[in-house]
Amino acid sequence: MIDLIPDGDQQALLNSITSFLRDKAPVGKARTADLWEQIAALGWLGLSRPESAGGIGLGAAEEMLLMREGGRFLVTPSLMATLLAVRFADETGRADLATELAGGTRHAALAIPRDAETLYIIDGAQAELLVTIEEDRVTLRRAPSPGQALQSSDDGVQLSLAPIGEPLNGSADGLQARLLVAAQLTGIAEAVRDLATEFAKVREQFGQPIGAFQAVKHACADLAIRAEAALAQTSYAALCLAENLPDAPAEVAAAARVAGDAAVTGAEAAIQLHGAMGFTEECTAHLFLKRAHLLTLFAGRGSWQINALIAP
Amino acid sequence: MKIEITTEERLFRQEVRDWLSDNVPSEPRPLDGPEAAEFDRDWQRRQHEGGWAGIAWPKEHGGRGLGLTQQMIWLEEYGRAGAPSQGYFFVALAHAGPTLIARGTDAQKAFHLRRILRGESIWCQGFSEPGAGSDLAGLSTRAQIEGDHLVVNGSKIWTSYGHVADYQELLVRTGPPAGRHQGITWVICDMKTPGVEVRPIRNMAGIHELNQTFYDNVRIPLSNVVGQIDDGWRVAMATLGFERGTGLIAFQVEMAQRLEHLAETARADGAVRDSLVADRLATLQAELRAVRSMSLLNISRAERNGTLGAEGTLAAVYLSELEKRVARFGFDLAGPSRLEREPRARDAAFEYFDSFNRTLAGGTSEIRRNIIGERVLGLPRGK
Repeated sequence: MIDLIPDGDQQALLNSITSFLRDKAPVGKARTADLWEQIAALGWLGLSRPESAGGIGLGAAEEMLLMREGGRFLVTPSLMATLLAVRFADETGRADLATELAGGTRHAALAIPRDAETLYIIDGAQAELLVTIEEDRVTLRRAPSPGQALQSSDDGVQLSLAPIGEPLNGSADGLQARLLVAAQLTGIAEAVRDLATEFAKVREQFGQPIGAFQAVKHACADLAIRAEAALAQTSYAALCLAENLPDAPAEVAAAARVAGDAAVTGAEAAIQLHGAMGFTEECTAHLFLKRAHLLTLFAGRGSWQINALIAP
Repeated sequence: MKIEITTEERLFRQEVRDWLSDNVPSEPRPLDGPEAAEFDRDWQRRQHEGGWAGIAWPKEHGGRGLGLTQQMIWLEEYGRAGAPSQGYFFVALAHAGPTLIARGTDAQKAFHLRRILRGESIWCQGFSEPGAGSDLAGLSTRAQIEGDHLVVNGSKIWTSYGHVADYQELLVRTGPPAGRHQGITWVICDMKTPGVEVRPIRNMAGIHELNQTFYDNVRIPLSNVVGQIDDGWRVAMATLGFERGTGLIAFQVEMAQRLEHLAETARADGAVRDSLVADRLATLQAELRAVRSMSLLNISRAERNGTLGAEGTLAAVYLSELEKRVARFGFDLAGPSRLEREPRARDAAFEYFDSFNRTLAGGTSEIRRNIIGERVLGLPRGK
């Protein structure tokens, strides 16, 4: 049988993640980068390391659940970068590095090449290591000096530009990276569905909640349909990856594509559904839109997805 | 969350695969006419003889009584083997039969259920009316009780395969004219009863499947009423309680095969080197995988809760709209050759024109979005 709903243990993990983030990192009000010690203490960074190595010994499914909440609460992309860096370190025989990363004493940040000489670093103020995702591989680099601070189009993160350094020897499989991107995009799709729907229940015009009008109701239904597709596909892809099934690359690529669409299209719709409020800085809808666009840069939307989905 | 494929499941899949490969008809299903009805009766009879009729129906009523995982395996292999759709047996197998199982009398069950499974009786649906489509509760076809009979006058429309059906699940108004959901009765109508007249409606794909049905003093014995007089709305809704999330799997597998065929064509003729074609194909493949996962999620919910609620509508809307996009892609991909129809075949033009039915039949996408808004998301109903 195939069960796509979290079991008791997974649900307990999910509840603990959600309640921590709801308390400590409400969207738009706190920076999760400032909570790193607490996050490390919760064991999230070593979630999939074996217990013998000091980890929690869970797998791709649990990492997917963690990063789905990461998307819902717009947690710093450094969380995904650290999970990937830990895997990289373990897979390339750098157990000490993995332990330091998982313990929160060394830091990794997400990066993406701008051109042949430079790369953008996301939330990398403390980072000693940079994680890049190239086609189906994850690569690690030593972070150069802080780099040049820039203004980011996603104002939930700090952006800097630095010279591309030499990658560390070895690389890790990139599928887990694409899955974690899809998981965050799924969390965003669910968050904007909830945000817009709750608003449509309380905002009244013409003497009734706007959610009673079909134009609004149907737009909310579309948010729910896309979020459902993203959740179902990302959950199934996580299980395929955990079991190393032959279809895993195509399932993960499908998740990245469907969740990317659900997050970006959904966030755009959530802004519109808030009326003029949606256009303000105060309304959180734009934060989801900006993060969704940041993440889709890491979803392999171009050749990687196409090769995985329609391999000749 | 887990995937656990047991040896039992593997063996069952092999059994299904073997049976299907020996029994699936090699000739394509005729698009319409009496030959389509004959084809569907034969295929249903063959499944019954093989012990594969009514896979989800309880054993006591002649079904196979499979669990959800096994149903899913059957449906996946069914689609993969290119087995024909349920065709004219759709209403009998998916709606009328389950309704009788839930609410029928012992006599009704004993008479009808095995006839359906053996491929002997085709059923059609008499729900929609010219004046009551999405607003089904506004139906006005009247039935007067006279002695031990109902006497029916009025008209039904969109009666798929009414011209070949043996029986009809018919909703009539027995209560006051403006009674809405109250005062409706669900009754079995024998299509050979005097006064029943079926007139064909050709659809935009050029085939005859739909009809309008007229009732002129049609006398139906009261023993054909399912449930109570005036309680037909609840009887009609009873099948919703049986939805377990497997309903879309056969459509999804069929669509997967169509898309794979289109992908092969695009690779062979080089169209896939056009980045726009490649991107569109990749999106459709991704969405197709998503629709399967949505079924898996619904089945997981049904396993836990015993039934699937309004959440099932999410996947239903997604699937129906994806079917239209796939059909449109195939039509576009055909290039200039789409000007030419292949007579009486499921060519790209047929698939495209026929696909418009998907977001209309069984509830329009608009009505389904109302259901999602109100019953899944909890949004208020309009004043």
